[in-house]
Amino acid sequence: MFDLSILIYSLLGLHILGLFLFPFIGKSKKLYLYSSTLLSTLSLFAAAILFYVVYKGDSAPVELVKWQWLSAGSFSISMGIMVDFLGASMALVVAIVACMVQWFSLSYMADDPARSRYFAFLNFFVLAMLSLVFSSNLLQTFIFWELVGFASWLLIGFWHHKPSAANAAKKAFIVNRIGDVGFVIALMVVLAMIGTFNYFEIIENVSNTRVFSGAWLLPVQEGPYPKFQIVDASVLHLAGFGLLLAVMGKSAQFPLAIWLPDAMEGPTPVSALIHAATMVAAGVFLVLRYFFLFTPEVLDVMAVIGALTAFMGAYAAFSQFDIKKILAYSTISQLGYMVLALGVGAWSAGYFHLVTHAFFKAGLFLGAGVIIHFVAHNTDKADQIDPQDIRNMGGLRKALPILHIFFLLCTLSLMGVPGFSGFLSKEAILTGVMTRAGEGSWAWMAIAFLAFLTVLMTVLYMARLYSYVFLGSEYRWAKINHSLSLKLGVPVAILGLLSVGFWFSFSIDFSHSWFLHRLGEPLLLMSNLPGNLTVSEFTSIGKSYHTYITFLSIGLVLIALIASARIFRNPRHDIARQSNHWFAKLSANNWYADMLNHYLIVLPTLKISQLAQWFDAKVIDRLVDLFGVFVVVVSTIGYWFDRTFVDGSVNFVARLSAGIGGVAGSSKNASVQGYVIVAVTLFLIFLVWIVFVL
Amino acid sequence: MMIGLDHFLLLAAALFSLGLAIVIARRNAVMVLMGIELMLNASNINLVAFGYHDPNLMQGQLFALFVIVIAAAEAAIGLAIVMKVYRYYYTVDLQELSKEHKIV
Amino acid sequence: MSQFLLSSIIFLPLFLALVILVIPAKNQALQRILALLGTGWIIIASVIIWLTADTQAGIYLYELAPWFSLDLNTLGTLKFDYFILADGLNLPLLLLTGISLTAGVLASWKVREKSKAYFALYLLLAASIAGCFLSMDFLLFFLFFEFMLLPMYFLIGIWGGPRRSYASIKFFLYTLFGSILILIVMVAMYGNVVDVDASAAKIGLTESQTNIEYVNKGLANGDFEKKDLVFANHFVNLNTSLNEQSTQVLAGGLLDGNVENRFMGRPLRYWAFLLLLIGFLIKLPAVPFHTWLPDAHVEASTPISIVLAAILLKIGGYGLFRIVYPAFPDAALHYAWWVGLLGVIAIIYGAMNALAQKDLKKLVAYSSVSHMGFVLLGLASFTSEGLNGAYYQLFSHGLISAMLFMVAGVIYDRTHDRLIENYAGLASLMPKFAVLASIAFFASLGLPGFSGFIAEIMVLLGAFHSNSVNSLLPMWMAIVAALGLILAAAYCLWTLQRMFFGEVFLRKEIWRLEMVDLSRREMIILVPLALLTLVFGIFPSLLLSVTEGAIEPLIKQVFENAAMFNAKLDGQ
Repeated sequence: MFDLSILIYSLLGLHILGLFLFPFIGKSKKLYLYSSTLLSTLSLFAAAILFYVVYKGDSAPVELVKWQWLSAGSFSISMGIMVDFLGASMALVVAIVACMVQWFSLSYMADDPARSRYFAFLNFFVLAMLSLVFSSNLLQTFIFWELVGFASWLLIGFWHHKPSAANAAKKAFIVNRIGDVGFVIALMVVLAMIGTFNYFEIIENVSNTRVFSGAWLLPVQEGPYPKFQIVDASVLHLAGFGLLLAVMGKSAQFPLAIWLPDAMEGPTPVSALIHAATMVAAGVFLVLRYFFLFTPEVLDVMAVIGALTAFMGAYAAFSQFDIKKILAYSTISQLGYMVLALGVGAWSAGYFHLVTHAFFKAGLFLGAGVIIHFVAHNTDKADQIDPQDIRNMGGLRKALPILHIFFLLCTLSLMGVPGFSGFLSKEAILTGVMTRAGEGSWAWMAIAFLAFLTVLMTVLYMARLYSYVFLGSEYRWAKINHSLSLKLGVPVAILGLLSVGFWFSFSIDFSHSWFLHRLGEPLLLMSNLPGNLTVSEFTSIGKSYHTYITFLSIGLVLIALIASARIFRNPRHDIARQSNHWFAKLSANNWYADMLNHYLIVLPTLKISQLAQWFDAKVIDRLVDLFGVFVVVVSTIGYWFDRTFVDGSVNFVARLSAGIGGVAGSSKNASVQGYVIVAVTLFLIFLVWIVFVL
Repeated sequence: MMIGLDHFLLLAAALFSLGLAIVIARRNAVMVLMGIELMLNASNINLVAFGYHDPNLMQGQLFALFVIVIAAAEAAIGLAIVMKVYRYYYTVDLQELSKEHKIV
Repeated sequence: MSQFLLSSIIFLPLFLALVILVIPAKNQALQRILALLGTGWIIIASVIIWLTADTQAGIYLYELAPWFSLDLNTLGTLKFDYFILADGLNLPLLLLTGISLTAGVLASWKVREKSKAYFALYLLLAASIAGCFLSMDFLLFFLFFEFMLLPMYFLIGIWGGPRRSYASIKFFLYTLFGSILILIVMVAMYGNVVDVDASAAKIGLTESQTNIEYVNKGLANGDFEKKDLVFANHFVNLNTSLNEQSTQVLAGGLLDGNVENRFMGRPLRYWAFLLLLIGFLIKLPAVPFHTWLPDAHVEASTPISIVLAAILLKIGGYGLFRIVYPAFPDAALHYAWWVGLLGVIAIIYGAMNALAQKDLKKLVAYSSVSHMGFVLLGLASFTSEGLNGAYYQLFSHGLISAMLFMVAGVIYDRTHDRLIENYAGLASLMPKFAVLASIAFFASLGLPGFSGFIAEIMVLLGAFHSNSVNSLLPMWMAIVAALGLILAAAYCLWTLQRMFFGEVFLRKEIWRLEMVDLSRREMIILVPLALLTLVFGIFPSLLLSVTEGAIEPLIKQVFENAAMFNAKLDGQ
């Protein structure tokens, strides 16, 4: 597979080059910006060729390169590059969106003094993201998983002088870190139980394991009489829940979704690239790649979380007035869909939606960027109004007619209108959900209900956005000196065109999509999962639901379109404008998640840390000081004892001698010779005593 | 008659007693110093006599040499002090010095 | 040349300290350059050893010369040697010593007050730290170990902050207390390790009889007595397995697992282990023996903080690797759970405390406590990845904490104020500084690509793995310790955000004049440190290939010897 590794090396190398050019030619902004964009365009070609080769080639994943990274005794970790259809198509998605975003940023960021740095960060992000996609090792995946988070920190906080941006960057990283701890736990379990991080070796080892009634049998010895080590299966759940936590952090699932709306503080193209299309999808990608590490129990929880997130995100999008916030909540909601799909076992449907969503959501964000740019530059009151507030827009249909078309394409795709890519992937997910719900459990029915409700709500909030921005008769744009430049327009147009359904399937029936067929099914499943849907099952098991799901969802979309046409014809009827209404309040505050986070997580943590500090200063250090005081007291007592008794006895002897001397000295013969006489006499007495008495 | 150890010891004891008597009885400080010298020499005789009976190591003789050196040093310092005292008080009478000048 | 290479590491700084004492006090430039020469030589020499060393061999280079011996009559003869050695266990730390001491000299470039005494003491400190890492004779080690306190005491006490006398005395007494615990065990251990060659020469044994079995047997038969033997306490002799010929442990003594000697129901060996452990834990420092550290750091000047955090703490960890575990493997396994618990507590508790700090230096000090917790956890796990990770953490934290204290020092140099809340938006005023500070904080929170990540992930993996490999640590310990990663991210990023980002704010407007970006000297300190953390984060094999050779045999011996000791324990 010589050609493939060359392709991947060049794909990564182009971005490494883009990153390393920064210190050398970063000063001359124009040169660096254009060379970086050129490099990313080249990498798009490389990704496209790679995709084509893999599409034509064998379907099994292969490890192209593997080298030992670190080893310490029995512990060794290799790094490697693997490629399969999943990876190649994901890389293509990343490369397309990244290339579009770089072209877009060329003029969007043209006025920013630090735009060279911005492009360097973009290169760094794409490099990390592509490395994540190609990594053949769970630890390697984690490394790049953290690095894309770091890139996200860099880019959210790109305008670091804005306090809100700095705050959002910090929040995003810390919330992601919570998820990363889950990842670390999963890593620990995988190493301890499976003994390797390599994708292929894990698959090989896991395929030999068995799960029986709460016990997990790990192969210890192979051969005709295999031996197994019996481990409590809850360890396996631990790994699954750990990874799920990681996914919840990265892919902004309830309750770790709070960072994504704040992340909109970053430049809009960044939101398109990182916080809509690629990085947030990394969580979903992780589940796709390591699907066999998720036990049925974990997948059930995943489905519940996905459904809740889809619903809550859509609901929160209702009452936002910031155009980027609406899109952010929409992203949360759509990511919830993907996670829901994976949770019910509709593996391929989840990935399908990831791909379609990447294009139309990136298109929407870039379109929003154009709109914000336009509003900021084409109003008389540019200083007074917030250019991101949709209440300050309206009538842009006439002002930006070309953008309007492509923005509408993306919007319709997100709404799930037949003929668009979003429709196909959404149908696939709904079919998967219904197949699971068809088992008859009321809980699954509730999840299915949430999924369908979200279809309705998606249409409503997008219609609201559309009518606020593009409709409206009042024509407030006094001077239009803005023509959609090629650099801004072409990326939106390309992404808009990519949102049309025929790229993926000529029929409105998703099951005919070449993409799903080529994607195939997960390599391995953890034991006998009830709801693992493969493409063949979609068409067989799912057939009974398929037809009426299609009608139901089309019906829902139609109902919602008609309703929104009535509601939003006059924006004053918008319930979000009644700021005291509970519905608006709950939605505008995103279920008060930020407040709950602040009061339930952040403040208690700070309180506990202050308590720890108090404990440290007042108890532990006080004990040390007390020990010191104790020693001083003991020493004082010792000193007293020393003065009184030890030194006292010496003094006593001295005084005794002085007394005797005084007695001798006070005699009449108080002269030297007198002393000698006394001394000699005493000595003689002593001698006599010794000789005769003793 | 063999001159044995006893004879030396007796001679030394006599000398020592003489010295002691001089030290106790004489008022002149110079005389007292001479008495001390006598006592030291008495001990030297003892040491040499003992040393004679212990021929291998010559410890006694060696010790006596030390004593002589020290005695010389002592005499030098003692006489120097006496000189100083005389220059200051114009007397070397110990009784006078201790009763009237309170220095010893 | 290479014959005296090791000695030169100790004696060149010492000699230069004397030279500094004789040159005129006014010639400050020469003093600085001499100090740089002395510390730089440690780097050069250790790099030379590193490059020329055969990593397959256990010992790279050694010098052994008799020092003095003490005839204790019936207790035998104690022989003390000038025995210094470089192997995989001390070479990385020696390099770290050179790096951080050199960074410290550069950081003290502007010391003008009593600079002659300062640099002389500094070089004295350098020599004693290097000596401590190199020496293989317990008495020599202890000598250097104690001697470090003296220059450190003066360096904090004279050139420190406002509460310097309290801090320096607290530092001195606290660590001295730990040293005394070590001293007790050292005294107890002497007379248990026989220098077989010297004893054989003294008794007159033939070459075939020159082994410890013969000596032990002869002692039991009464062929010769204890007073005929020569004892020498070399660490290498602790290090060799009991099964091998080269072991030199006297039968029936403290080191031979004599479990008959019990105190309060526990074998005396366990007590000896605990005393040594606490002695080194104070140095490390581990909760609850850590409170001298924040005070010492806050009052010490920047270069001294760098040296203190980067190397002095490492001696605690190094002592555990070098002395405690080889000498008392059975006790180490017996108390692994508790050591692991102390590690977990230190990780979480240190991070919690760091989160609550208002003073930047205190925050970094508590983060050190937290990071040293990983060393304990890794050590307690007794797995390859755990022990190697713990060692990696020693090395990596040396680089990272040096950077962090330098960051604090840069701010303190300009304004003489370290309160986090007094600054905001420094990135706009000092962009280069903000980049390097961000690197330092991200390295500290364990971002992949920096050396801290390798260390922490290896320790966590090892701690969890321990449950299935040797069932020493329960699974929850690793999981709870992993929570420390969140807290580390919280205090690092919160500090970054509060101090460096957002709108510019300075408590006193006059500081704005002082807030110029990094000078070339400060860049020379920070950039190489940042590059080193990156290099060791991306190419971990650089370090692991060296340490592996020392740590793998250690693990093997610990289990083998512990099994033998425990067999004896069961037998009795």
